Amino acid sequence: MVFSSSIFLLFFLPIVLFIYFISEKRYKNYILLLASIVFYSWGAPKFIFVIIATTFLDFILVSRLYKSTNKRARKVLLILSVSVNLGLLFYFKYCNFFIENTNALLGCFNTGPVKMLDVILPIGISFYTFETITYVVDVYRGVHKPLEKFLDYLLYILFFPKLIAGPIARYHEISDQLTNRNENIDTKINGLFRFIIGLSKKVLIANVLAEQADYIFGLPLEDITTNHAWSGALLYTFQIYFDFSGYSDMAIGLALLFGFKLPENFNNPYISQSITEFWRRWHMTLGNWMKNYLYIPLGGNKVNSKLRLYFNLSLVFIISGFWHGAAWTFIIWGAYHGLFLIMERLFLLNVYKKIGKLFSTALTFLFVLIGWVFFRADSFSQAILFIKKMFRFHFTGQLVFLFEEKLIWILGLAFISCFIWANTAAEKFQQKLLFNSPGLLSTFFKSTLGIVLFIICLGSIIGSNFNPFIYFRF
Amino acid sequence: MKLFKHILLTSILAFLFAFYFQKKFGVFHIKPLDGIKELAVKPKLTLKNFFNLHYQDSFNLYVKENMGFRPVLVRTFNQISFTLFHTTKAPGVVVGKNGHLFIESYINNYTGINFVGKAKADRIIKKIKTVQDSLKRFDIDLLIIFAPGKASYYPYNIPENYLLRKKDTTNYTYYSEKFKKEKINFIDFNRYFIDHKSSFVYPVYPEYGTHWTPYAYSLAMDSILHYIEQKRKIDLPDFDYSRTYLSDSLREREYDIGVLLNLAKTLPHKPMPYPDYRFYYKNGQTKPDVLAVGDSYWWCLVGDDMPYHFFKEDVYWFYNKDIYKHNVKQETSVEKISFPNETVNRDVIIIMATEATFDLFPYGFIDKAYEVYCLSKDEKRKIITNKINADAQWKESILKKAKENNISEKQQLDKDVEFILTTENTPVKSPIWVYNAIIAEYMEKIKSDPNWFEQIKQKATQNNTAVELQLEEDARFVYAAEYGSEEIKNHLNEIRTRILADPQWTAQVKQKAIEKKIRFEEMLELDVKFVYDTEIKSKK
Repeated sequence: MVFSSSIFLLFFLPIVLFIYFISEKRYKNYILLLASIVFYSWGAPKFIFVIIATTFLDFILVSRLYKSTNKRARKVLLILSVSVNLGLLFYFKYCNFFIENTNALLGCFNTGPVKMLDVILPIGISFYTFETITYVVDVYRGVHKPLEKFLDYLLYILFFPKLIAGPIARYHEISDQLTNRNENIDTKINGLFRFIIGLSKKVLIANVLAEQADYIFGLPLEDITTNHAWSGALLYTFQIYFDFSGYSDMAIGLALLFGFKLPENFNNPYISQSITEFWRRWHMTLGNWMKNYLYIPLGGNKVNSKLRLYFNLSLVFIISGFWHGAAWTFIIWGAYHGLFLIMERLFLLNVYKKIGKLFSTALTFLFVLIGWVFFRADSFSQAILFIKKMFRFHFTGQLVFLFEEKLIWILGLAFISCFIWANTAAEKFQQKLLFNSPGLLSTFFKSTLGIVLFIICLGSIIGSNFNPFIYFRF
Repeated sequence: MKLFKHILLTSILAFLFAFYFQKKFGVFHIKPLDGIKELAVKPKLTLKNFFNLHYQDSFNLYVKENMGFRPVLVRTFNQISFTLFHTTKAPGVVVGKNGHLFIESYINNYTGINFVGKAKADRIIKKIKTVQDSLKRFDIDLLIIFAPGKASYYPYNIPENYLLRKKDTTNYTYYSEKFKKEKINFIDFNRYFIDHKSSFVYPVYPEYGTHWTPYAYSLAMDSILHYIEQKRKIDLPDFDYSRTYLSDSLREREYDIGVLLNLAKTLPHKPMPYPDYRFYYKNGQTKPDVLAVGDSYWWCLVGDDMPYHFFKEDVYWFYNKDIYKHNVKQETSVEKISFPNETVNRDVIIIMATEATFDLFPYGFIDKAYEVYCLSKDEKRKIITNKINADAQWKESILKKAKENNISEKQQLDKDVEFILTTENTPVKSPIWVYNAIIAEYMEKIKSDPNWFEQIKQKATQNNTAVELQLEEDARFVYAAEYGSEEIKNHLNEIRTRILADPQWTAQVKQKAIEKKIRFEEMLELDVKFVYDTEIKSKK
């Protein structure tokens, strides 16, 4: 079930909200848990049993870990819990990738291939696996005590607003809210508004750009011109932002409706003036996870040598890339960003300082755009060819057929929506609009705009068969 | 303030439920969306179809298509998209410039995107020429007509992104050039309408419709009639379409693309020209037997009753698949009828194609006509044999029949092939005098009944036609009512085959023809009818 579907908007959500709002406080978590189980089962009925079973195992292991005073035993339990979770992720998501590459290697020695596994990727596995790891590690580190009730833990993992595609809510960020959260009318209104903004980003911008981006990336390579290549890269750059940030807005908005405050995932990433800054604004919860659960345990910035530091950075970004998908293009995308982080530490940041805010923003945007080509391409060779076409600078007069009127307007809107926040006043307005308790005028404005946007989005969803979600497959 | 916010949130929640209540109780009557055939039905929940996700997919679709206020939402969104961006999600619809809407297939043919290729086109042209010549031996004129195309007529209204893909050769340019070279009977209305654009008093195309306007197809029909008159050296009934009125109330056909957009409000449009037809008959005028094969452009003429007034019968094979008689779809289809019997007695066979369907032209008709009229008997036998051998069930039935008849499989196969060849692949023309001989019997029968004849005279006055023509029409109608059904025609064919397959019987018919001083074919038809009437009587 996706958020931008009629069944979710007009069937699932109204029923869950109604039952939740009229229920007594002591039943609310159970209602949310049941709704989350139904939500997940709708899309993956077989895997709900796997997720419940592994969550139960985790709960037991972490309980034991918390109660244990033996350092070695605690470590063993930590390793066991992390291994089980990563093991599942590896099996479902990465096994066939390694088998495929092993077979490619074995082929060089004329040896018979290893049989591929017949597995289907459970939706959201990358996200909830990372969350289970935060649970065990936060308890291990003494950051927060574990939950007393298994059902509360299950709710933390299965909480449907964030289950499929994040944000990755670290355990300690959400733990207290499970048992005691602040529900008031202002958070509900802000939540609803945030949800509708996210829905609009997804349906009215991302989906429109996606149609054309998919068309371009689906063209035979020999038919792709420089026009196509730049257009496709640009369209996808905006598509992925509005798709993913739109989903995150919907998740955060939904969570607010139920009184939960999830961490922010995006902070206008395309106004970044460096790749370093980009990763402080893009998929922030993943960045925070990587920093706290991988980079810092590897030594972080406090390592003895620069070489070790760069190695850590490279490894973290390669793993970040790999987390996105079991393919070399994702690994290369991650490594590409890692490389820029290293270069920025070496000299690039100084260059940005010299060229000024505007040029460094433009340059960073360009580097990010090129990186997205690897992310989107179906293969490494397609990505390379695409980039070659981009830099051949052999423009033809055929831009016109790509950009029909609607696309130009939506692209323009996307551009403004991404870059306007570089202005401080605009950014302050955005903060006020999304986070402040709404006054009378603000409430009226939000509700009117919200209803209008909701109706338009619903009309688009119902009248269309094209509604892809990028991060769904993670 | 807090109360206001609570009321607001509750209202929004109630708003979300409104869709369900509208679906359940239908409080508001909402016009359904246009172009939707059937809505998804609610699926049945079983464990199996839940776990294999079929239930979820079906239920998602059910909710999407059946939710309350769906038409309102879709129309609202479509209207916003169209007004702001001049775009539509209607499949196959292209929003052109200057407010014109196109069906994409017109543009694809105009730009040559779906050109069938020179090799295929040459094969078709060669077959058409051969069929034309073969049909002429049966005194049938084949006439190819290219109706005008909206994309060709308004190329400046086609969006740029389509024009950029224009190729040098298109189906239209290739066919029309070759038809002229090969001297194929051809009327090129596409060229005619483009060349005479400035002379037209009224619009030839509606902005939001697929088909030509009544004014345009009246002009075309006039030209078709003149062509037939010159070709057949006959005088057809006349018609007057000079009284044309403009109307703001468009008929469905003049807004058929607009309707697909499913907008909140009707698009502003120019008034369309609707001629007030008058049909005139004089003594000595004749109505030829015309079969029309084609796409929906011919249907415009059928819809205004034109073929009915000018031709013996209003018979139309839609895409060479469905059969329409006087605009009523027949239960049978083209593939089920006897192709030779349904074509051999025609005077003219028209194949009309439009820009939208040049890639499908000539709809399989020429291939079948080639098989029936141009191949030798041996070639036909080979085709029929191959068809039977390729069909396992058919082969099985041959084997069964062979055992029942106590003959070899090869002998039974040959027997069946001959039967099919004679009944389905061999055109036997009933000459006009034969047909007239039977009709003449009926005309005499009517004349001998004073009351009946009086009714005929009154009808002739009402229809503004000659008494003889009305008499012949009614006689034909009565004959068709008595002998025109498929079942009876098949029975008559079977009797005819029986007679022709029996040398003694055939000799008797020849002898009788000599004695009566009439042609053999005429005597044959009279005997066929006699045998049929006898067999039916004896059954009763």
